[in-house]
Parts: sequence; structure tokens; C-alpha cells
Amino acid sequence: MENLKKYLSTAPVLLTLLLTFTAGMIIEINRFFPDTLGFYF
Amino acid sequence: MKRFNLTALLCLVFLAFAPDQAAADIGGLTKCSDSPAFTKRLNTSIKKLEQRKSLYEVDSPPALALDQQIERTKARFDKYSRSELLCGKDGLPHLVADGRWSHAAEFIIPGFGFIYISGWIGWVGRKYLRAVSNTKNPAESEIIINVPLALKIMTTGYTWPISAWQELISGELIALKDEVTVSPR
Repeated sequence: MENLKKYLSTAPVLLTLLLTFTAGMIIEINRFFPDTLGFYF
Repeated sequence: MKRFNLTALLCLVFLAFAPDQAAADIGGLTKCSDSPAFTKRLNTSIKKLEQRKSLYEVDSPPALALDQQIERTKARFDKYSRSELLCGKDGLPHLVADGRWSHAAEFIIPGFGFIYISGWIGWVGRKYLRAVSNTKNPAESEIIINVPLALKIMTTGYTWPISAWQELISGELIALKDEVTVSPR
């Protein structure tokens, strides 16, 4: 368990998690607020 | 020197007498809702999609998908026509990025958002590196991240403009001149 935690804390793994989350967030924002050309709602 | 002064004077004269009709409408743009080219573009877009739809059987999957695309197209044009966006002769919205407040939503606000978020990222990265530099093994903490510490720093980094200003005042943000190494000269 300790080793798994250490593996998950390594920079490449964390970077992959972060970028996956960021990409997913941007995709979802574009799904719910498509074609945004500025802060007009 | 004299020639420079003459050039500067000439520039000033040109500036002073520059036609300021640009203030009336911005670069020949019109509001999208009043732009005939914009309406024309909406109609041709819808027409093209309906033509494609007519190639398929009613209620078949491609026809339904095209129906959805028509709805999305209508919603997009409707949204642009309700906003302050300006359209060009091509019927497409053009963003005004010259800093006027009436169009802040198109460039200034997103621009500040970008600077704020990138500053946040940079600030917490620096803070983490400085925090782990005092630990027993700083190099290892850069490869195997101390996640609880990093999360704590990341979530408290939103005040970075204030923190950066405070550190600049206290002299902590920048290193002293004699601490910066230079190559021998």
C-alpha cells in the first residue's frame, strides 16, 4: 500500500492524472457551454 | 537630433488630425443581430443541413443527428445575435481586442483570466519548490511529490497577486544582486 501510494505520487503519474482531469474539464465545459466567444450568456 | 524632432512633430500632427470615425463603428463592424450577412449565413447553414437531411429516411439515425446539428446551429446564431458581438462583412463575429470596456467580455476578461490562472500555477509551483528545498531530500520531493503538501499549497494559491506583492515589498520575491552568479568578465 505504501509503495502504491509512492508510485501514484511520482511526477509522471501525477502529471498524467492532472492533464487527464484538465482535458476532461475543458471537454465538459465545451459540452455545456458550446461556441463561447466571450463571457456572454 | 533635429531630424528626429521633425519626425516626432510630423507624427504628432498626423496623430492629431487622424480621422476618428473609427469610434462610430468599430473597424466597419456591425452588431451581429443587425448584420444581413450574418442572417444570410444562418439561412445558408440551415439550408445546407436540411438538404443533407433530405438524403436520408425520416427518423433514421443520420437524419436525427442532422436534426440535432440544426438545433445547435440555430442556438449558436441565436446566442451570438443576443450578445454584443460585432460581425464583419463576412457575416462572422469578430472579437474586439483593443481594450475598450464595452467589449471587455471578448478579450480583457478572458485575458485576465488567463494571466490569473497561469500566475496561480507558477506561484504554487515556486512555493512548493521553496517549501521542499528546506527538507531533508529536496531532489526526491521533486520526483516523488509530497501530495498533501502540494495540494495544500495549490488550494491556497488563489491569493497569489497579493502574496506576490507582499513578497516583492519584503524583498523575498527577488534575490539580492550579490546572490546572483554571473560568469567572469
